[in-house]
Amino acid sequence: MSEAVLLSTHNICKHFVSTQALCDVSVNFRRGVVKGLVGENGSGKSTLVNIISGVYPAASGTLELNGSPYAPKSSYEAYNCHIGTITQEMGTIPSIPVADNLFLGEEERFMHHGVINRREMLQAAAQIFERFGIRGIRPESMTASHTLEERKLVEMARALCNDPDLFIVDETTTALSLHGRDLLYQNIRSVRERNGCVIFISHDIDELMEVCDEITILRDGVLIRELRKDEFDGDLIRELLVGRQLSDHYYRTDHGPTHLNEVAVRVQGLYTMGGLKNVSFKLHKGEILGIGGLTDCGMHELGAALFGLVKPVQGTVTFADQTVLDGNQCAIRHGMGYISKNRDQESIILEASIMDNMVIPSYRKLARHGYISQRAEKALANEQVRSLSIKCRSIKQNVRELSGGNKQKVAFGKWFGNESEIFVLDCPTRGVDVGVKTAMYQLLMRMKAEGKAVVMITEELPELIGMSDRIMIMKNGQIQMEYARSAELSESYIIKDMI
Amino acid sequence: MEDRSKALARRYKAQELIRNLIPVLGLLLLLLVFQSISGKLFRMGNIKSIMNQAYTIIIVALGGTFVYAHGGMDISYGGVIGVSMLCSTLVANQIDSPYLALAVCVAVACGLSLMNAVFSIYLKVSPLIVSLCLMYMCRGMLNVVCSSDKFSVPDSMLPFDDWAVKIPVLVAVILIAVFLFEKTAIGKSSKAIGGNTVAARQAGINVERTRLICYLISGICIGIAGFFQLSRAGSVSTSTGQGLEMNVITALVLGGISLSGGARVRILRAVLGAVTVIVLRFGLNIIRLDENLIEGVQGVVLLFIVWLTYEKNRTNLYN
Repeated sequence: MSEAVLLSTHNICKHFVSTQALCDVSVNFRRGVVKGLVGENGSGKSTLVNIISGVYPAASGTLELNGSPYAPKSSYEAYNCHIGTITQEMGTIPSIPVADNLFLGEEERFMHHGVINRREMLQAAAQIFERFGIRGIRPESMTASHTLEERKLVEMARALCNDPDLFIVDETTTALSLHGRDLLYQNIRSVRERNGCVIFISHDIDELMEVCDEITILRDGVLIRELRKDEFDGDLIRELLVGRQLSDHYYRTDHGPTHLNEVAVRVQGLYTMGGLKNVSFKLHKGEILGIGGLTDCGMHELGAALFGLVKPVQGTVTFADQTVLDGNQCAIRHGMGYISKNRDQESIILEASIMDNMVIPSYRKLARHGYISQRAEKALANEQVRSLSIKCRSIKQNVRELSGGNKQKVAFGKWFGNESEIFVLDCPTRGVDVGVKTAMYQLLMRMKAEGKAVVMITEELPELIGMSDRIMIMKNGQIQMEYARSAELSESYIIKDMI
Repeated sequence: MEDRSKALARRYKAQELIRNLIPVLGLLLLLLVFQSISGKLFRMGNIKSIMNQAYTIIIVALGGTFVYAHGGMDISYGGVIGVSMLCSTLVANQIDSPYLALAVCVAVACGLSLMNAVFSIYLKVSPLIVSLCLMYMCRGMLNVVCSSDKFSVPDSMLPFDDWAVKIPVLVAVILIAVFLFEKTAIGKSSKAIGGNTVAARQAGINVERTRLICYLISGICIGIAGFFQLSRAGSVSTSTGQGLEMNVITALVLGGISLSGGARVRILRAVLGAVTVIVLRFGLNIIRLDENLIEGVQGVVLLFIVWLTYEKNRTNLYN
């Protein structure tokens, strides 16, 4: 096997509206090698693969394919350069037959005098399925009638049928059964054997170590480390994957868990459609309850369920006055506030002023016989702008114009303005810089001192350890482990429960 | 980054200014142009004509603002007002009471508006499609019932076509609409929903109920407008209300109201827009433009204004 470089990326950068997705990533993909890409959600692995497969261009940096510059303008162009991809999302169109998905964009192959010969197309499809060992999918059947696994296999066949040099598998195995996985592994091996390259993305570290020859670890869009087969070590990969530099100066300085005795919210045996299983805990006043885990562990779902955005299938959320939560308006009436992790999409209205945003939960409070005076609105907004020191020209300024941190403060101010006592914060420091993070942490401490109850859901372990009175680690929709605040708690200790 | 945000702020300010000025300047320009060409726009008779035609559109557009502000769409105004007027006439011919006629007109308009609301809010059909269907259904009803003869209202209703009645009613409707829209939770909620439905819901707004109330307000306005149109026209025929929906939408656009709703919607703009659209149509008429061309010109003006004032979708994922 030759070790020739098939594809290389040079200083690739990419940023979306407010987040840096990739930062100076340079990787070589060599022939005859299966390369694993691993990282948390948002670490940039899918972004990298999307750039390679032509979904969108890089902001800066270059790609080289077989030694010559390569800049695909579309995924179809990439496909024609012998780069085959199985996407993370659905890569097939549900409303057309399987064979049409297989030959999407290739219909001309079966065209004679402007008419597509359907029978020829169906036969070709059947042959392709046989070649890759896919059974039980009729080429003329409707794509939507097949299971997720079968559709993924169709995608695999499409990616492989023009003999790709580079075969990209983006988080596909979770959708596959044992049989499907075997098929995929077989085909990965055969690509390697005929001297192609495979990029394999998965969250399952054992699987990665099994399938791959090399593993590249990405974190926050930065290439952290490349490991060769002989350097593989599950614990090392996990630490590189999640561990962030603990710069502890801006976290809390006390090391004991403290809270008031009064219980603010009691959760009992909560189950939801979204995957929560038997979640029970108590949240006290003056307590910061940190909830951590991997993104899909159910912690975001728990946040939404606490705030009444998700109806529980079973179980209850009860407030101090024994009222059982029923919908988010009930939650707000009981002094709860919620900040979504998708701030710009869910927590604020971008095309409205700071004032308009802040008064929304407080209409009832501000109204005198239904009349909401602008003076009352201004007073509320000005008070919050002052106490949160939001940087703005005026309270009439559009929220879209504010920086990420100030937007987040507006989202907080909305609930402070309504005198909320219980806060459910889903990733409150996502996408804000260190300065704003410090401000957020000071705010959390202020809330704690004022006796407010805070649930802080976060994907960042240092923050979890640094700020919480109590830490709950979730996995597969359940509470895996609970820790009280202590100086001895370390990241590597907690990671074990997450993965 | 700092420069970019400053440039952005400047752009927003400029856009805001354009959006604020164009409706006013547009109306002044139209008045000036038509007056200088025809020389008789400001005669009493013409002003009265404009007022009479604008009356219905102003009231319907005021109600419509509540619907459009929350991101709804309604193109059924013409049909709904027609059927409301028809029912009102039929009842008035049995029991001769103008107040009962008004009540029936408002009730029927509310009922039809509620149908719009229920299908789009609870059954989750696109509001545009629902109102399109409703428009056809109403037109169909009018065509069937009024095919052979037109229905005239009893004489007792005709005195209501008097400015001494119409002006106070108009002022009251405007004041109430402005109060509800700008100073109470219902209007503010509506704007919040138009701005970001998810955020509005998460901030505790009852999205469904708010939308329902908005449609109801719209229905009440259609009913009131229908009653006064009835007292002026004196009869209902198959063509009653025809084209109203397009005039209302044009009014909203010319007034500078974003059809996708949101926080920047100002309800008084609807009044401005309604006057503008009638001045445009009437003006083209008195400068003796071919009747058949007027609608075409309206289309061109609408497109131009939309292009000029609407936020262009420049943000995309890959910038």
